[in-house]
Amino acid sequence: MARYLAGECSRTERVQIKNWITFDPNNRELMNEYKEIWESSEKEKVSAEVLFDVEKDWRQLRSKIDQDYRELNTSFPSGQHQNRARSINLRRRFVPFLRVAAIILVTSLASVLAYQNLYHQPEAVTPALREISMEKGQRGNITLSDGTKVILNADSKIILPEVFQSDKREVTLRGEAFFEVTHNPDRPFIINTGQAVVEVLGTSLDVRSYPDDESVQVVVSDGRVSLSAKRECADKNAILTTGDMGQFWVKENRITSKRVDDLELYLGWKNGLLKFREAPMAEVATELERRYDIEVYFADPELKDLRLTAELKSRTIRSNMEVIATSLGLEFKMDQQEHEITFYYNNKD
Amino acid sequence: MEIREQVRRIQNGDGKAFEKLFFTYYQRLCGFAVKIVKSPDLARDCVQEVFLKIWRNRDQWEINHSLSTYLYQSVRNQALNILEKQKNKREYTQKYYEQDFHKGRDEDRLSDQQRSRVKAVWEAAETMPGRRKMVFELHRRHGLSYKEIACVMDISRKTVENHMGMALQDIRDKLACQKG
Repeated sequence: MARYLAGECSRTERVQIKNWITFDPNNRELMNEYKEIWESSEKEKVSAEVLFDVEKDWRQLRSKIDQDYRELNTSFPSGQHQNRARSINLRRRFVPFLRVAAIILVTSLASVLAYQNLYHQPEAVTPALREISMEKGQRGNITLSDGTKVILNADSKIILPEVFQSDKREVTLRGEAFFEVTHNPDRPFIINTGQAVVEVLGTSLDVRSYPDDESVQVVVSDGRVSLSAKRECADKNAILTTGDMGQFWVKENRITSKRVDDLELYLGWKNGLLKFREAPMAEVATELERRYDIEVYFADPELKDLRLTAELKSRTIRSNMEVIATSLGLEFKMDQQEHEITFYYNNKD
Repeated sequence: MEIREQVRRIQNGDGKAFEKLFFTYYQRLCGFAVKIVKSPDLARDCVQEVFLKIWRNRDQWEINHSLSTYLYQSVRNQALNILEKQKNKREYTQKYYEQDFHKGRDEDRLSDQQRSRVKAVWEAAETMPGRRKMVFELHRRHGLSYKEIACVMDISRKTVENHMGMALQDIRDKLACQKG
């Protein structure tokens, strides 16, 4: 019986059970009761989230592990891509040690360069560039040599010179990053994206320019910024101040700006929050794939047009998917590695 | 990432893979441990200790059966050790025992009738003898197979199935009795 209910019995056993059921209506009744208990019991899976805060407890475990490493004088390996030549991957949860590492890296590379310059007359005019990238599912803090702080979002990279020029600080961004630019009126901070240029004196802002995005988007959380197009554009440039969002529309070749009433929609990612307002699921899927390094599928293409308004706070992928599914009245399934997620309708009726 | 690949990466000291393992299993293992140690704090210690050991001894980490089996088994052993230590101290407090540690993830979507049914089933399960209860829990709540449960509890598969049969009978009788 236990094997039968669990679907682990042999064919002969199954026949035996079937016979037993048909033999006597009481048996059938009994079987139905067992089945009902079986199914009811499954509806209460473990979640125990109230009691066990996985994020907090992970930090606790990490501090125990870090204790080991302090004794060994090394640190917890943050991932398999660590220390690739000229490109480092930073993991957000290991930020404290990485921040130090980044500063040291920046300064030590700078001094290596200075040292080389002493002995080899630089022949190239283009300064040596360095690239810092985050893969999908990652996010990291970087402090630049001028004190500017950068939080680099998933699937993004920033390219910067080993040493900033004396009259300006210029970086190139692919993807999304939040900048807290150190104020210096004599050396404007310039962020190049493929299509637009953002010039800053000293301020905090979010710049987003993923390859698939229709616009280059700049959200200013504090200060004053100028957004202009790289090529000839009907609109000259937009001056944005605190609470403004400026967009350069690549196809239309236009610049627009507007007030933002909820900065969290654009800046929430810095703190691990994903917030959506009336966002089409196709867009949501792209964000999720970036954030969690997962693949999102839809059983029915029309699901892509559903619009989601939600705040996803949890660190576990599953509970965030649950929030999405519940708010849209969908179901989802997930493979064991939590890598592939498929949304589908719950028996359309 | 395939499980075997994930295990291999952890053996090679990949922190990211280890973190993923933690986030995938932590809560369900705590949900299991708390049933044995009867205290959320002890459960937390217990499961963290298991993960800490995995990481510290990762280069000698070996999995003979499935990953789930390994984890649940380690947690059970660790939990029993903790209980052993506790026993020397004092009888552990009864108050956690009554507490409901589980909130079903699908519960919000159930009708009132279904919800009370689910509750009744688990209340009945709660009164069963220890091993029987554990078999029932590991299968119905944690989704382990009979074979995996046999490994975790260190009993034969046949025994697991017997326990399950008796558990169903117990619960049914209890429910029938309530109905009157």
